[in-house]
Amino acid sequence: MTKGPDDPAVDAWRGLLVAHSRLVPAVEADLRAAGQVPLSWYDVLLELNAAPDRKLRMSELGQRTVLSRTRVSRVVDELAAAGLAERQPDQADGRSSFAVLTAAGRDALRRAWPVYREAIRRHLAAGLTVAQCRELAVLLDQVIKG
Amino acid sequence: MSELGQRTVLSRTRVSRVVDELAAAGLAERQPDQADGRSSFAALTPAGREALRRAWPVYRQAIHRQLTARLTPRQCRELAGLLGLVTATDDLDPPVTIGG
Repeated sequence: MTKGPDDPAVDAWRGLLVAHSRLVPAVEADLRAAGQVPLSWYDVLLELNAAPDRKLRMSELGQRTVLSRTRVSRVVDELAAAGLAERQPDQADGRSSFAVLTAAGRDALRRAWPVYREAIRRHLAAGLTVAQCRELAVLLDQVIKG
Repeated sequence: MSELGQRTVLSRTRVSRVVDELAAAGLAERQPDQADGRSSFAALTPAGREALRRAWPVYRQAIHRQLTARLTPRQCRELAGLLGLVTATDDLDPPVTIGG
């Protein structure tokens, strides 16, 4: 990416792209090395666990995770094949379906978290003070919320 | 190609695919490396330079629409600085296995 002289917005954008491209694979590699679920699975398991009755419509799941709608559907199929979630038909709406967390899914989520947290510390937080982490979170939050 | 993989935010396999797409669109060319048969170069074509030049004002404006509306220039600088610290210090050692 070329840039003009001193363009803070472009610098911030480049920072976001580079950080994302480095951190996500690094954290993913730590999870894989420890035999834990991939990030995409984790994201879906986490939202299901937080939902009432641990179930969500596929469309709700798409809105809550950072995954696209088609990707969510594929991840739920993978989770179902691994016994970590189940698809349930929606009685009220035949075109819609629910994803439900299983006991094994909760367990996988619980086991992955300490590894995930450690990976976040190792790759994201190692170079920052606690105050800088907080500042970064505030700035990113502002970008997300607008 | 290996240098390109290191410099962009794309994975190595993705870089190779993108160069193929660029070649098909006439924006870049693959050139064999005479010194190393397993390696190859990607070279920008004049049409590729032109595409880059045309895209940049639109790209910059899109970045500004996303970021400048939400952050002051000072905050943009802070964000860039903090993210720079994150990527500068992240070690690429194999992970410490926890739990297993």
